[in-house]
Amino acid sequence: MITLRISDNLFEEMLHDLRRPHEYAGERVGFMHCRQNSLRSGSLLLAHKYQPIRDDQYLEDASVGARFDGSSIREAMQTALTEGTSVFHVHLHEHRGQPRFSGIDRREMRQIMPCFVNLCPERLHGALVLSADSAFANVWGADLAPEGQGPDKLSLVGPRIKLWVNHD
Amino acid sequence: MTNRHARQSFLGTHAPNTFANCVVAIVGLGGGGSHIAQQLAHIGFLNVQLYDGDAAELSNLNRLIGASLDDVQNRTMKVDIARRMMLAVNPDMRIETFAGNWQLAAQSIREADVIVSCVDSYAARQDIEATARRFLIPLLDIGMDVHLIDQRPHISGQVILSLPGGPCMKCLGFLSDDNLQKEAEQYGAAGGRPQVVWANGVLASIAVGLLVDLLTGWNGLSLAGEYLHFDGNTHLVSRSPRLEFAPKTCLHFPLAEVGDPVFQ
Repeated sequence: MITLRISDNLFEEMLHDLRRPHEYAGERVGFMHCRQNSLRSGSLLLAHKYQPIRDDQYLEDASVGARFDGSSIREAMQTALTEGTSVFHVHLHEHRGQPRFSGIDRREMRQIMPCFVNLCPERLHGALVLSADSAFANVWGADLAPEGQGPDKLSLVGPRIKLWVNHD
Repeated sequence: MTNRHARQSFLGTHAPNTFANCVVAIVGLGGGGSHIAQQLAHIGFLNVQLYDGDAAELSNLNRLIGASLDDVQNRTMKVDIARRMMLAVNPDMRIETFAGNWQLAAQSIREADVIVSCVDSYAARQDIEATARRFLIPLLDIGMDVHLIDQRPHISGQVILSLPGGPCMKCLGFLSDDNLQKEAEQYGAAGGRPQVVWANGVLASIAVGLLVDLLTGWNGLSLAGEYLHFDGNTHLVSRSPRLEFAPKTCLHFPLAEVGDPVFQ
């Protein structure tokens, strides 16, 4: 069982950053760091820090919403190593209701996620897409299928508790 | 929407699924916790963890919902009484019982989406809140006491909602080094504290109401925390002024400090 828990404060911090316009990138992305803890059967990922990508780390590429240089990924990888975190790539689909990954999102994640899994194979890593009031995630790990899997439970914790449970 | 819950359909179309998916841990199945357990079963919660290491005693029967004289004679554990009561309301519930200290089931309680604390000491509350904060779990705490004021008994109680990032029980002044120390000094000398079923019921019902608000948002409340005071002599519930003056961001449990403490 994989559970991902995010505080409302961190959710709002990420929304605020991802909504800021950029000079040429069509959207913003960032990295969310989690502490991985054991459950009786599985893992509990507790999000505790957001690492935005700096303005100068975006590359001009009109074919995608956002392209960023290798230094941003290296910085996220360094944080994962130094602080022992699980890393989630984060971006925003600006609408209400539950978001989903696009085909481009899935293609990009297949390239990025192995970097983190190979670097810290003892921990889970993933991708998170936010909407104005919801979230959707996929998790990769050394013991998981190559395409990863959704967390069994994703929760936003704050004045309103939101739970998404995968019953598959 | 099943017919069972048709009368609470105003909570929203997603409410039944939310109640079904939410794991609630109740720590302490005495006078307060037994009310909570009963109400969760009626509302439609399906996943509940029960933590209490005590068996029913004769002195519990003035307030322990679901308990009988047979339970006292048989030394039935309080968690088993609550489980039996909940399953009688809804046999589909998945109820885990832990007849011991909750700290001995540390990997279980962190699976909870909400913890309801119904314990009777400041020290126990402090321990539960520390765990709730580290694992990003909202905490509802209830408790009551009876004090002598001008030689007249005065019932008071509290309901506190402690949300990760928001003011904690220390920020609210409910827990302090002073009252923890006084409690420690009197350890073992106080005997059983006065408890009555009606005051426990009021406090438990308010806590359950806050829990339903948190999960459904049905009435539009958006609370960063809550501290309600119950005056059991006038039967009035009021918001503690301490909530207004507490720091909006907790200084004792920073959101960056989550999970099991580790050395890097």
